[in-house]
Amino acid sequence: MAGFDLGFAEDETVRELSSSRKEPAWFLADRLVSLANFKALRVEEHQLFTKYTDISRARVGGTEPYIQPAGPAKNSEKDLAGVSGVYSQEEDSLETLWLDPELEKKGVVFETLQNAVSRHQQQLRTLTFDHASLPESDKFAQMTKALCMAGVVLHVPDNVSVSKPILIRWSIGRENAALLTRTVVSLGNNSSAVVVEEIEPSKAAGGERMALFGGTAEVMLGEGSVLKYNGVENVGGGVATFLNRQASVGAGSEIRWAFAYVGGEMTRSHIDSFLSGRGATVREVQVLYGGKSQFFDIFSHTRHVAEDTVSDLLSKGVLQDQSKAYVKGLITIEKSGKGSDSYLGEFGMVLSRDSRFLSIPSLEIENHAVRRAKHASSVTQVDENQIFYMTSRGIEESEARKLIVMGFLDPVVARIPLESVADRLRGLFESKWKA
Amino acid sequence: MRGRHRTTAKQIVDEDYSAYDFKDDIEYLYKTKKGLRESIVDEISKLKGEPEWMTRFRHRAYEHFVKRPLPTWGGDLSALDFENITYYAKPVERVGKSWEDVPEAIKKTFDRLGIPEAERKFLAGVGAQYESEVVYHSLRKELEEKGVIFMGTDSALKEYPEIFRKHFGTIVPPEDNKFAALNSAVWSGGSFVYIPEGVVVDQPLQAYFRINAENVGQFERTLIIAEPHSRVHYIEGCTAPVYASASLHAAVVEVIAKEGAHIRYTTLQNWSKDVYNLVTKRAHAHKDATVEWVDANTGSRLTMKYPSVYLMGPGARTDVLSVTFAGRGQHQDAGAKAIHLAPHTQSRIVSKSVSKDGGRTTYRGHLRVARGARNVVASVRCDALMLDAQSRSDTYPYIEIDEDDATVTHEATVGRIGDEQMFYLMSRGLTENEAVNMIVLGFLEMFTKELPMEYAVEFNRLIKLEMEGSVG
Amino acid sequence: MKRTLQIVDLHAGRDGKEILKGINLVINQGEVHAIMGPNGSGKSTLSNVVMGNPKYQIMSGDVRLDGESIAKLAPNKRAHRGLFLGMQYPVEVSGVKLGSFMKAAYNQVHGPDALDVAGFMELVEENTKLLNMDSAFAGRYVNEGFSGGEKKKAEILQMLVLKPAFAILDETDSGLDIDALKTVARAIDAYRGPDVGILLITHYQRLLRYIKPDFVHVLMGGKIVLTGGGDLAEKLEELGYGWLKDEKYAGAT
Repeated sequence: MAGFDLGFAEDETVRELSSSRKEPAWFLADRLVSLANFKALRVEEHQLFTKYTDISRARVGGTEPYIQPAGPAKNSEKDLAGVSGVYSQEEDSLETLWLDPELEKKGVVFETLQNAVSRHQQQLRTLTFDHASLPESDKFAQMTKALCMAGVVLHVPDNVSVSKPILIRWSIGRENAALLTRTVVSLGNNSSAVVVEEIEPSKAAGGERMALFGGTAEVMLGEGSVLKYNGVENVGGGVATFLNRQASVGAGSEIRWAFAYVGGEMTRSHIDSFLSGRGATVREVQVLYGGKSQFFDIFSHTRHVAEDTVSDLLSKGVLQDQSKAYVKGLITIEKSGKGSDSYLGEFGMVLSRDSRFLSIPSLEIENHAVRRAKHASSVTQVDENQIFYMTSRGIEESEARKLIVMGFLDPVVARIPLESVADRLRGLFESKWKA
Repeated sequence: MRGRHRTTAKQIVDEDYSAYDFKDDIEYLYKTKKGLRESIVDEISKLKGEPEWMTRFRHRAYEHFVKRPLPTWGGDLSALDFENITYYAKPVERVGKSWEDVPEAIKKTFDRLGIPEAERKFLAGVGAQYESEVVYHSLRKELEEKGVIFMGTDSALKEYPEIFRKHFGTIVPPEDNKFAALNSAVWSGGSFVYIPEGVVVDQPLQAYFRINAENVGQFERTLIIAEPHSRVHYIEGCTAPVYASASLHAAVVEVIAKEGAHIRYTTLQNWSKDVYNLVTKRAHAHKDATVEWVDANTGSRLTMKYPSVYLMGPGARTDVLSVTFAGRGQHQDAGAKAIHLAPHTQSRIVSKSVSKDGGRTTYRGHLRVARGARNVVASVRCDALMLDAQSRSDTYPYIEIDEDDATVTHEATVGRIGDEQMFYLMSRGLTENEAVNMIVLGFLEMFTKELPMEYAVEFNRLIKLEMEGSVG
Repeated sequence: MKRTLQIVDLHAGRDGKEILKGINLVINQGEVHAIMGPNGSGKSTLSNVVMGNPKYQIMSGDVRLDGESIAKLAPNKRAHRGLFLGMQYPVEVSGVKLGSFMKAAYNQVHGPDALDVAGFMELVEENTKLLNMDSAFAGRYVNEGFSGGEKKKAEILQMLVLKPAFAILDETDSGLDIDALKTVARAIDAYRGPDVGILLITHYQRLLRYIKPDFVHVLMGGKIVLTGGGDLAEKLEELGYGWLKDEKYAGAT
């Protein structure tokens, strides 16, 4: 397994990033620890997956970081109906930062990480240190933590429900540019929110050399809260994307992850869910659609720490052309996770002989008193019996094929809690099919 | 209540293993010094009077063994001390052709294990290995006349040098893994089976492996060659007495099923609970051939064993049935590999595991459909039953697909005995113990029904004893 | 002019094995034919070959619609010309809703402008009711998780919605309980008319109690060994197929 070198990952860069953002000393210290971790860690530390990690497509060692912080938001976006808040960044420029004033009155915080670090220092420190700290054994989480150039913080206090989505958008892909970002979300007790994160091409996207995007989400849910976190990655061709999302879920709370991976040269996504309070739940759906020579490496690790916790995880991937996907999952039911219920499903549809699908749906069960621990995986293709059935009703063969492929993904897409996101995805998949 | 009950049960289990837990004080004709160095490899080879190519093979393997680090995955090998193991111990001068030829003390051992009796009743041939050497071998006359060869691997190297050299080490090269390298360097004993074209051996051939002395390693090497359209069922059983410190069993098994041949390989591994059982088993299934691994692991401290099949020719098939039972202090890290390299090949892997009293079972499997293997149908099913909160069960399946028309399914469940199931059985008058036994035996039924009847009875008895006192 | 579906000296089979050994049959619009026969006589092969399942091959002979051969047409082209096959084992298509599937098929068969969305939904709704089906049915994925009876009803629903000129119904009665059988039979009977030709393929006579066929054919060993009127079905019910084999048609198989 090849190593991963990032030219600008040096002390000097970290200090420059920190000082230009006027960060407090503890934040810089935290960055430096992460930098050391990043350098020391191997590309894959998890023994189960050392053979099944591939970052050779990420030719981003020479990318240049956006050192200077973004200025104040331009707030040029006009159509803000239908959302509760927007954070939109294009390359190194902050386009929009807006929160519904009604929510602001209720104590909802939605601002840049840079501001939050100075204004809510103590809370943020507690949050990112004690609760939702990114995995220390993950090289790329540590990379982003060490070198993050931008970030956004959302906090929803107790008993507040943010009904319309909070939109976070990263527009990226300028040739040879590196953008690393951190998103921190915390919900108190009995609150709810919906986050939609879009990672998409910027106006400057394209060029010969690759761009690097690193994004993390650190989520903490108190008790009895629900967060729906939806992410669509649809960046342009020459981008290597490294995503780490992590949640610590308190008693009776629920995190609903829904992610789609469509674009990019290579995308690596890790999700870590800690079900740390009794009755905590994670529901997760992931879909990917690979074409050309795209590579996707997605891994989801769910830990049932507390009793009566529930996980329901489903991934589906369609691969055409020379695309390749590693779909890895691990459910750990710890000794303390009595009464847990877990399901992990990983399903692939392979449309081309040149594509490759790997799935590793793993279980580690340390308590026999589980309600259910089950996983399933299959790899299928378009079935000729289905084709005959559909064509016999008058549908063209090519149309029948498309319907079957879309139908394969649809049960997952349909579980994405936002209809608008689901519809957009259907559109993306169809256009990919046509291409 | 619970604690007391369990202690009693533990005693029963320990007492019962006493059927296997007896040791003979025998004088070894030859024994190498403890530990492994190049001179010992030479010593073994010289003692056996081997051809030069085999000596070179051993050296090549030894070099790799020294270089190769211990695996970082799988079970805990930290207490395995390669220096505290005797790599070769020779109990007899030559292989007995009848039980009268076997020294009395050793013959008694196999008598107590019921081998000669089974031979009379229903086996086509029997081999018995004691420490490093095969002490007894027999084959029914009519099979011998048909050209079937069933003998100790050392004898085969001498008597059938061409067939031997053509196949030996071709399925598992010494460089395959650290323990295959170790075996290749110091191997001794094992079975050699050759079935000529078109010959069907309808009763099983059985080999019995026994470790007697403390800290003696057993490194047998088994090679099965089934020529086109032949058929054979090979069964092996293994036991050892209980000692305080560990013994090591590192076997290599190579199986070749040529066109249209059918091989079933059944293992009932019941080593004592201080044996490290680190075994490499691999088969090549050529065109239209079938290879079946039926693999049960109830004994040993740690087993790491993943019987694999390379489906080399169109129409080849494999069925793997793996059963593990892990009690106190045991880790069964087992599984299977099906590597599809040719079109129209099929594989089915079924794994059943039971863990109790802090035992740990791990399923580790690899299913691969390589480019060119069109129209593959493959399935994996793993079920784990956990009987208490101290136990642990892991499932690590790797599924790798490089073709667009493979049909591959994988399913796994981990669970405990359902309350409703218990209630149902007990409402019909069964005791709690009987109910649990019945459920566990039912859970393993699809395995037991694959065994010859005599073995099924023995296996069920063993499981029942292991199960004693699991509720209380 | 009456349309006709014509099967001419058809020899066909699967994987190189001949199953149909010379079938001749003419179905005119307005007629209901029943093909009966024991298991393995080739009934399902016939339906698959007529609809153009690529797994089956025609060795010789022809299938003609209005005198024109359709033997080389793709299944969807046959559907466009008014052919429909209600399958013995309807296939599951995950993720595709029955409603949108039928709409896509309808647009292909009758053209995209034949009916607007509202009109189409009405058409589905009306026929769903006729079959005593839950209106939520169209929102479920095609055949996925359907019971045996629901699958057969969904086939008939598609027939009623797509309005074919010729419908071949392969073992539509199997998997149905008595109430569902009556409902389905009534729906088929209601669809019967001067512009529709129907071919019922069945092992038992029970469907034919509710739908009186104009002609009954007995298929055995890949050949039609006997043709008669509606009363032949009753005779078969009473005597089974054995007498055909034993007596005068012994050579047919």
